[in-house]
Amino acid sequence: MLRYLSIAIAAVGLSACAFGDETLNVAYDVSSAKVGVLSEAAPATIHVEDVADKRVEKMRVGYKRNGFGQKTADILLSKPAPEVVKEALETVLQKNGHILGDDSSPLALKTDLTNFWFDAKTGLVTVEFYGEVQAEVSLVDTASGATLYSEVFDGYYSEKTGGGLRKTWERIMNAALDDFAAKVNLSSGLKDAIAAAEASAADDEGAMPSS
Amino acid sequence: MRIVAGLIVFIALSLAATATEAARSASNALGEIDFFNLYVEVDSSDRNFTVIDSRYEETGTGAALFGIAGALATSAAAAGSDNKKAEPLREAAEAIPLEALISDAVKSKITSKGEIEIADSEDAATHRLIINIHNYGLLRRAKDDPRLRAFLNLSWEVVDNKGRILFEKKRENTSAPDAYTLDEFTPDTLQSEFEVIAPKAGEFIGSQINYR
Repeated sequence: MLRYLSIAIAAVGLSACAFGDETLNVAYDVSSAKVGVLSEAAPATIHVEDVADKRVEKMRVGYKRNGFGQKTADILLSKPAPEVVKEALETVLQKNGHILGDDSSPLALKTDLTNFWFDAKTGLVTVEFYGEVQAEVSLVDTASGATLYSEVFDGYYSEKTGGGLRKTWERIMNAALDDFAAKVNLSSGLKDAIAAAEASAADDEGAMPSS
Repeated sequence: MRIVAGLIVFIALSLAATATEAARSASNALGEIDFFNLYVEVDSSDRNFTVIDSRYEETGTGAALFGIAGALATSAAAAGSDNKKAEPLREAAEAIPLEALISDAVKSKITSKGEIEIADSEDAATHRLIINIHNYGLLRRAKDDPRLRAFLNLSWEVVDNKGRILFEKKRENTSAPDAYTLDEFTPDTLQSEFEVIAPKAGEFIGSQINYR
């Protein structure tokens, strides 16, 4: 009797595990943020606009799958993905000496989030988990609305392991977000665009007649 | 029978543990590498020109680019259609000297900081940077935007002089900022787009090493 009861409890437990949605806490780790190429541009005041969600899948960031690869439940985030990406961008700018502005700032970062996804490829004895964070980030002159620079940043991380649950999945997605942030941090194009905009603003100020 | 089953489970767990360990040790170690003399090589044996347009339209993502299987698998019809789109540009694409563009940019970026020397030969180096070119070509901008932009997908690793992989990055994808319709891509446009993004990809790898 006790044996049947244990089996039933185990079955219910496993079903709950496979069929219940899972929520991941994903956030850019401020302590791991490094100074990068963006620090080579003179400090600028930049408004990081709310990130536009252009993902095909907006309701989830992945699926739980059974041994046959069939979807059994959703993988969700505790905070909306666009907010997670916006916070990462703000941290990167601050870490490199730039100042976060508001919507009256001369420069803005405009971001289209196109992918924020967790998935797995199953092998014979291992499973490869991978996370992707992809967004197009543009530096915009707020006065004219002109796009000064635009780049697609593609964060990715994968790890082969014997298995894993929420903690592993969180680590994979956090590493993919780190990779995305590192790419923004090391973008020579974005650095040049910020530097050029700041130089142009300084020239304009110099040319203004004093009152 | 029990012994055999136990043995199989043991072997499976050992393999899994080894794979996990290898992945972890190779992924977080760039900051710990004490570079002195670096030899840069670009391997193009996996270089493949492709257009991802119909496949993107089908899945709504660029997943085909990375060979992601499962739910995002694309049909043979979409792959065939993309092949036809790639054909007129293939010869021009294959003539683009991606290897030199990437290699020159990496070396220039690394030497600009003056902390690491570039070695002339593998034997003279303390470490090797091996960059692999994988898919490159044109990728649809979005499901609702039929324009395409140039992309380049690389992977890279740092190996010590004993051949041990100290760091590896399995995917380094770079896309061009500008998008055009397929008809607007001529051999000249294609070349000029790759003359922008291949050095950018190389510079980015160099920056990761400089700011590790």
